[in-house]
Amino acid sequence: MTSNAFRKWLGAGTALALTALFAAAPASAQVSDDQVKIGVLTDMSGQWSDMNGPGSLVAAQMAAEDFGGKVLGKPIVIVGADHQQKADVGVGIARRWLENEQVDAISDVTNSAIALAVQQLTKDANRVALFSSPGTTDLTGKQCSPTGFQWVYDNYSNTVAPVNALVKQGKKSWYFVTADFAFGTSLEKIGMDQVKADGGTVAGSTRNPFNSADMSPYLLPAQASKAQAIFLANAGKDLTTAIKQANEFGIVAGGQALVAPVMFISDVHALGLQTAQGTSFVEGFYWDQNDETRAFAQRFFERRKAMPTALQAGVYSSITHYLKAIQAAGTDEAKAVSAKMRELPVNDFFAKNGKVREDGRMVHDMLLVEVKKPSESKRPWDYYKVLATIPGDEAFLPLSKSECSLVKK
Amino acid sequence: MITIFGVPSVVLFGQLLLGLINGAFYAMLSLGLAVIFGMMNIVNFAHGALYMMGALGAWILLEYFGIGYWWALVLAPLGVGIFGIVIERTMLRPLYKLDHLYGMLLTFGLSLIIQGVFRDWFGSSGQPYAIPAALSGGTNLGFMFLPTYRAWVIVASLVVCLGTWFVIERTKLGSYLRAATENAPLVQAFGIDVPRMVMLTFGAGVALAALAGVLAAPIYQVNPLMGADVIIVVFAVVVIGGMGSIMGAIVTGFLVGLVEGLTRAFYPQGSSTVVFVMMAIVLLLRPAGLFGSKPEAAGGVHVSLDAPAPAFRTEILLFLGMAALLIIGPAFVYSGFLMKAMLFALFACAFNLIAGYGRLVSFGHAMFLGTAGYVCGHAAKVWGLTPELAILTGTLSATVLGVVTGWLAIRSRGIYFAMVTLALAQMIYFVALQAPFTGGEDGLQNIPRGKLFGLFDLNDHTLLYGFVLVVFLGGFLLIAQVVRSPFGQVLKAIREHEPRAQSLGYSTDHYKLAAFTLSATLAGLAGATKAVVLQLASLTDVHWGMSGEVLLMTFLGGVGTLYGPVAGAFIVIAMQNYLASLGQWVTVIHGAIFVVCVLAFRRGLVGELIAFLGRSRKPATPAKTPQAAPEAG
Repeated sequence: MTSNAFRKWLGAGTALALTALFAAAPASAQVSDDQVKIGVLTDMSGQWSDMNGPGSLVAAQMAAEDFGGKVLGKPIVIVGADHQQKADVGVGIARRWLENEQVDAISDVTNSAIALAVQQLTKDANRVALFSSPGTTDLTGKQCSPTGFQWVYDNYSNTVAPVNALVKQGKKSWYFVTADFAFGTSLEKIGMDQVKADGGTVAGSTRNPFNSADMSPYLLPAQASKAQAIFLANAGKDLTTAIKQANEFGIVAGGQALVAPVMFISDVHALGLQTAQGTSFVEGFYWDQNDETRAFAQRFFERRKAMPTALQAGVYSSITHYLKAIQAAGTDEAKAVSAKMRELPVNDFFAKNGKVREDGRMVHDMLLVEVKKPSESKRPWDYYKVLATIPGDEAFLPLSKSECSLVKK
Repeated sequence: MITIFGVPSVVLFGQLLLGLINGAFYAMLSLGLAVIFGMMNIVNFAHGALYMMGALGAWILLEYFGIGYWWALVLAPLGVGIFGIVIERTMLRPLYKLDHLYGMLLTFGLSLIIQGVFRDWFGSSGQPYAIPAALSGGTNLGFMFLPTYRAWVIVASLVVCLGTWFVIERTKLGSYLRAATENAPLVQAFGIDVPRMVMLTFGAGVALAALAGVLAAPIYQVNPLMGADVIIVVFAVVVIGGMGSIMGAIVTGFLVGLVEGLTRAFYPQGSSTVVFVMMAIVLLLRPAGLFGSKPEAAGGVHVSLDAPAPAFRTEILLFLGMAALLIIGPAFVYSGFLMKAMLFALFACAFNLIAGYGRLVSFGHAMFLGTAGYVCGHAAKVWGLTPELAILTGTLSATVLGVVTGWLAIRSRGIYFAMVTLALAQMIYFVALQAPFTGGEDGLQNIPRGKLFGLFDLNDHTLLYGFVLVVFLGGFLLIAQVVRSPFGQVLKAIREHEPRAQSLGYSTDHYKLAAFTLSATLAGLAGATKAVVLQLASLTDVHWGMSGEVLLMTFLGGVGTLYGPVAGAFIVIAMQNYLASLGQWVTVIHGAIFVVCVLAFRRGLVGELIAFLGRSRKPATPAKTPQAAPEAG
């Protein structure tokens, strides 16, 4: 018998024995392997490591500590791993965690391609997936799972509002510069659909390789097309490179609007206010919004020496909610916990009046922000002007349009 | 708007100009590489990392010392040049008399260390570096907007390149350098301190790379990963231009940049592959490169890695022991890890077949692993073939690829062979990136495991493990048999002295091609099986980093031994699995292993073990010459 099979039998036998012993007790709390283990799968060292990476791990640890370190009397264990943006490494780690290391929930998962694979793995293994970082809407659409949740944003929430706003302002023609993988293509599709729905035109599009040192060859056709708005379906380093070079080539000075749907405070920090000023986008969280967010951010800063991005704050929030759901369900069995997660409202510094829908989408208010000018910034990391709050129901794809099989129409 | 072949002239000229700028960087980097190769016969794989150090150096100078761009242009190359000199004195000097491949391996290891360390210190989101005020802004040329800084880059690099060419080809110092490459002892006899000259030349080549880095800092993101992929293109440029030619490197650098720009205007997806296509064409028509005049890099002394063959009974015992260990393994160790390790061990053994036994060190073996994986995955997922048929299809695709690439590559030897295979693999990488059926960055996911022969459900862990075990042991046995067969003997003869083998009547090219194809087939078998086991085929499998990993495994375990690659593979996969929490330090460790192995451990773990056992068994052996060593086990 393989080691796994043996362990399963041993575990089952013990569970039976224990249940028999405590049969008299009220519905006893059953936590698998006597611990709740959460794995943070992220990019620790690559081009997205600043918006997730070690910061996500810190956020997860903070969540476990703030919860008391224990749930249902069993310890909470946080482990982290670096998937290096590689599909095979990520899938390998997830598989090992689920098959061999009794991980109950996988959190964060930067990189939409890896996220889709993890969704399938957790679905098959009946574990929970708490996606904070990937943008693809397929996670709550075609590939939705009863135990998979998308917490912070998705390509839809970040695209629709800015595109709407800009087309209304008169930017009718759009050019798309798209990262050539799941995240970028999904973002591009949503963007193009929205532009057309609002009555604008798509002047053209270019695919850039993920991780390009030089984005100017892809910006050049965008500039030549004279489109009024350039939609940068990129994130992380590719995005900041594109913005830098767009400035250098006089694209911004020439009057074309740069639209960066998926941007985070770490990107602004990397670009510097001088270059990033004036860019507006949709964010899921800003550390300097109110006292509660500032309190969290301060504690985070002490450990990371950087302010939390929306994704990292989302890791904290999703894990806390998960733990609360375990508490409420009295078990860490994935389906029971997931049901509780959908039942309980989300009300913490990250999201007020947030709720988890049937398709796994956590719906909460989003912020439309603009990057301050250097003169407007009074202290380090004081980067955003909050232009508006977009209510959750407007920001995210309505359930009626969802392609998820779990949604009853 | 005028259109030329359907592309607006604005875009065409714009892309050409951008291509010229890229070409300027290629020219400077390949110049440094050509100078170093010309002087020292070392292919400096760390050139990309040193370029990165130059850029980061400029950033550090600004951030921590407030020293601006213009000073950084001088100070950063100086600092990195000194670092290069230290490396030359401590690590490269012992390698000159050895096979030039060792220099490449050492610098490869160094590049891993440098990049890993810098990634740990600086993260990889990139640090901003502002364009110096004097060079900001730009001019509207009508057909495009040219930033002043980019124009400066072209001018600066032209000046530096032509200046370097002038020094080497037209001054007395340059003539000393050129004489020293022809005949160092003679030049030394004239009283010229050759080692010092070599050291300073290396420093100068490194400084050139760092200068390119400083020039790049304001336009690309300054980050530790910036050198990693540009180095492969630069290798291709140097091969196209001709390895020893200075003017060749400069002209080809700009030429490649222009061709890339042209491609980007008409067919953007091909722009990253075009340089390798150029290289393949040039190698077919002019193997020495466009401007090359330097003959094939003379091979250094080949340290014979052969060890006395153990008795046949020992061999059987060893094999049975390994099989037994693997059978009971899953009771103690996660079976997923063991399966992955076995498949990589097969890959490494296949690689060792030509690298160890044939002395054809390929830097592009990943293309066989990856291609087979994709084809197998596609066959299983889309065509619905049963696993054994899918794996067969995948393996056959690797065989075909092996024949084609082998035919192209066999014409070259030594380092040239390594670089040609590297470039061909890179071409395959970009094809995989673009081809719709591979899924590009997303990878080919959810490959079904299916029912083996229609009977055995491979989703069952035990059956799956048994299947992988059979594949591995079978492949291993095949390699062991080939090595011991007459075919294997001829291969060894070719490795020891090719002209002698030819004079005995063997058609050496055919033997080498056959060995290469066999190696490709077995690598493909490993890749196809891996796709079924892991249910995923991704770009990592075709990336040059994977070729570097199999090199690491084989080298660590022992090139030219049967069990060395197996041991090496298990160790490296274990490191990946269990040290994953260390993040980029794993890269640094890999690099350190390369460096240590090249400097001290050339026979690898198993090789050293065999040598040790051999010595302790026969304490009073007469001195053996390297060439007279008996056959390896």
